[in-house]
Amino acid sequence: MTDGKAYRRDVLKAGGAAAALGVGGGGFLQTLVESEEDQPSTSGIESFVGQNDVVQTVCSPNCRGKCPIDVHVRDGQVKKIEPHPPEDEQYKRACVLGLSHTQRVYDPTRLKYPMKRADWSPDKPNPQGRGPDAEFERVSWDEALDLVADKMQSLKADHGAESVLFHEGSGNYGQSGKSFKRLASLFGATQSAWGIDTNVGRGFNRVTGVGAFLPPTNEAEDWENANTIIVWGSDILSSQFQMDASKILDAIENGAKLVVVDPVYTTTASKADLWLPVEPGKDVHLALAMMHTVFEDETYDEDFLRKRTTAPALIRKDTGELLKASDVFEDGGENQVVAVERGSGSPVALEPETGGAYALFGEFTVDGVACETALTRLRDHVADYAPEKVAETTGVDAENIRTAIRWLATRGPGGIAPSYALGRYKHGHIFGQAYAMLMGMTGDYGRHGNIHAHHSGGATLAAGDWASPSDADPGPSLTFPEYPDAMIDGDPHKIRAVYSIESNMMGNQFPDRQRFREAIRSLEMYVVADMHHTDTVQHADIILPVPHWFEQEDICSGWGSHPHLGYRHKVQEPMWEAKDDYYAIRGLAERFGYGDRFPETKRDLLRKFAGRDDDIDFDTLFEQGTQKKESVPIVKYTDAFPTETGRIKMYDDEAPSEEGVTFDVPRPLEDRTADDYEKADEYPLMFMQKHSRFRIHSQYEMLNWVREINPEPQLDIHPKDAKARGIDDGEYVRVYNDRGEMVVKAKYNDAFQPGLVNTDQGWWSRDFVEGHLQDLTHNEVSEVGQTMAFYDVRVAVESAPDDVDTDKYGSDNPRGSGAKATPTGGD
Amino acid sequence: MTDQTTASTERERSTERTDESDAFQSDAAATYAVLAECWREPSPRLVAAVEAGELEPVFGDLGSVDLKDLRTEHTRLFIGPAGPPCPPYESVYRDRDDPDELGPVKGPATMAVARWYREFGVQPAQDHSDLPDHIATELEFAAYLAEEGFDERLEQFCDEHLNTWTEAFLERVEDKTSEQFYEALAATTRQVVG
Repeated sequence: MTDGKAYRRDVLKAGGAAAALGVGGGGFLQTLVESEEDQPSTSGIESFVGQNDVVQTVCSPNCRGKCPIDVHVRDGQVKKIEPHPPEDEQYKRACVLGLSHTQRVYDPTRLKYPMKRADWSPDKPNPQGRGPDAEFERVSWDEALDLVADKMQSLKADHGAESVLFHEGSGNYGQSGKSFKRLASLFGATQSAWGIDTNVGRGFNRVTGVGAFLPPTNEAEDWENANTIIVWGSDILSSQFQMDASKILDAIENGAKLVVVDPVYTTTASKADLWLPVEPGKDVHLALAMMHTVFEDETYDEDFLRKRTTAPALIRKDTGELLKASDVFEDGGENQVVAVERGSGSPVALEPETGGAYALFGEFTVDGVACETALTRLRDHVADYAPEKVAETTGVDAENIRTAIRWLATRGPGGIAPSYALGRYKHGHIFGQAYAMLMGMTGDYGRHGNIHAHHSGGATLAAGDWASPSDADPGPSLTFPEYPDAMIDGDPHKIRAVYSIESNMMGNQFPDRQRFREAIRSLEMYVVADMHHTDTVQHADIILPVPHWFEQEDICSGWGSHPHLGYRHKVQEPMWEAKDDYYAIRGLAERFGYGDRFPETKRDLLRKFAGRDDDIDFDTLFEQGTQKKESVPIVKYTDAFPTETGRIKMYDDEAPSEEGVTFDVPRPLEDRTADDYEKADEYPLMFMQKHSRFRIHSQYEMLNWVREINPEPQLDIHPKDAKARGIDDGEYVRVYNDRGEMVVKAKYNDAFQPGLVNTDQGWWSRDFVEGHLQDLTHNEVSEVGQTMAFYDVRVAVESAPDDVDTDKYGSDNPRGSGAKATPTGGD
Repeated sequence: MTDQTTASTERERSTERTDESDAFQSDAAATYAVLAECWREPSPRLVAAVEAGELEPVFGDLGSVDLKDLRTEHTRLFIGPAGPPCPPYESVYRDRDDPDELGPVKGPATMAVARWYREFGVQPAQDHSDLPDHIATELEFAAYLAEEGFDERLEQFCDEHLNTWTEAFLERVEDKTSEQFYEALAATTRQVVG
């Protein structure tokens, strides 16, 4: 040695070992290679601080924002993120979660390499090996895809292609789903059908002919024209990440009245002119009381009702069916309904979008058949729902009910902006029907300033039949709530393998978690692609690591927020061996013999997609980063409604029924919130799991920055409910019902009314002291809604047992499980 | 700190070499190279070497090892999918704000290591998917410096990098592993770089 000092590292005689390992001589350079040039490529200050680049890209979780952002990269490292206004700057936005990607992209717990559960093989799946203790071994991508393809093909041969389910979540808003569905269609696999947040839209659709999730609403830029906004069950100012809040505030600045209907005193409620603290599940009662008030005040929009609704249509009193034009006129249509002209009293067939002197109320006899108008039927129906009568049921002061709806009915255009929360009660579709009709009464469709949902429609990329090519023979589809029966019992058909992308649903976000775990255990193969080690990933047999959004280029639709498409430019190459879902999809397609149906590169694919959408020019989108879709209408509902009559249905003579209740007009039907629910005494508290500002579904769970301010799940409970149970603020409590339990910290929170408790959604198993919030929820859905009813849940709460181990949140470890020792994930 | 010129590098290059091993001129280089190889994903050759007792001079008795067990343990400790409990990257320990949390991968420390490599005319291979500040790659670079006779620069690299984070890392490995091989590897690595 140069200085003659003896170093400890020299004492070992490692030459023999080196030879045995084959690292002697030049063999020791394994991961490093000699550079082509030996000089550093940069000099001076740049060699130290590196080059600074700014890449415009898009944040992509299902907050729906799809916010364009600028990513500052220095020396190959993501350093800073800033919002980038889209082409139409009035839709500028971005939230602090989006800015936190500097931390997320370099999270050491990201998935790195394809993996196989150590004790899984295609022939011996060892389902009991799944779960918290499962061990994994690293495999190559080829090995992983070979295993998946071989198993899928053998299942197809033995049991039919529909025994394989392609499940897609919402965790990455690019275009992967289209190729995923294309592969599923070509293979013939069962495909997933959405079963979350589809309730309200289904009810609304029954009335107007449109609506799937929430119904279409005027784009957010138009909201400032609203004179009254009734936000119903949505904390827009806190848990919505779009510019929606700013648009609400713009409207207020322009003089709009803001009403918030919510069982919770939310941030949004605190900004409202009027807060209606409805009790959980009583929303339909409230809507009917509002209808009652409109009838009582005679503030309904007569012209609108005559021109665009079936309010004047005649109902046969003998059969309850709508009188059809074909019953009255020789050339009358079978789908055409009939009104009576005032004065003459003669029947007239109703055309879409056509006004006339039709009688809105009254009883008439046409061709000897006794009839009454649909509006008469509705008025009689809601006669039982006077505000005073409903006040006790709903917990809302009668005069405030009147004030709220009077503002909407008399102050000019406005709207009702419900959220998905209403659909998280089992029969939530009834609310969709009720408010669609209520807004028909106030004439709030097709005008500037109308609002029908708490987020606007935005723009989606139209890719034609790419997902379901005409020569394919696609398999059946299965809604989320149907999964467990299919996997466990083979009802309606047996699912034996699942390929899951963009989803932490089956292990974390779906209700009745224990049953879904049983469902997973009944599979022969569970393939999960993800960026992080979620609860779902821990249950996989094959794990496919997906890159961070900054490492996969894509086109992001502004669905649900703004009318742009965004180009998600790659900021850096994928780390480790993470690969875009498209790589796996195409790799499987090749193995199935459909390789030529999928372009070789993602760029080619995206160019092809853009070419199918007339509004989009790939190069413009690529260069600008965002492109506004000019064909997206700002004001919705300007044309005939896509119903049989072209009109809003104020009465439905073909209405479905549930539990003996027919929904010809909106009739309250409740499940767990019903006063006479059989276990209401045993489990006296309703349990909600609202979105918080800290997470987007279960994404960002691991971020230390978020954990600093929101370290662990808690139970929001009114002090009165807590004290009645001897529970102190900050004490750990056991929350339980007949399905399961969880242990979390109680938080006195008088924003939640007595009788209602809440744990924010998005936490993973590892965050709970015991159990999980989804151990309490159930998977029972209504026939019409087919939507998971997460909030329609009852629980009991008591102090946690003394021996419960809460060390993970001890005082020496304020950040919780993401910080102390190991963020080992899973369970 | 690491932007010395090639000229100064040349000046520091030691002319002294040892010739105690067949393949390596520097015993230190051989030691670093062996450690580097042992921190990589276990290979059949590694298992064969252990079984043949070839690693005993470095680690002492390692008992018997099974390739599948070793690979599963390597995956669990250093790759995941859960955690991993012992991320084998310098930046995770160097670039954290709080000793209770794990820092980022590809942090400032990673970049500093990459600059060292650049300065000495080496870089991670194109097909190498892991980060430059992986324990194995840093040890490999140390072997390179030793073998090339850059003794003072080796000392500096250890001071600026290996010595600054391996203790925290090795403690985690010793705490988390259930394989004697990794306990021994951690202990020997501490002895060598510590």
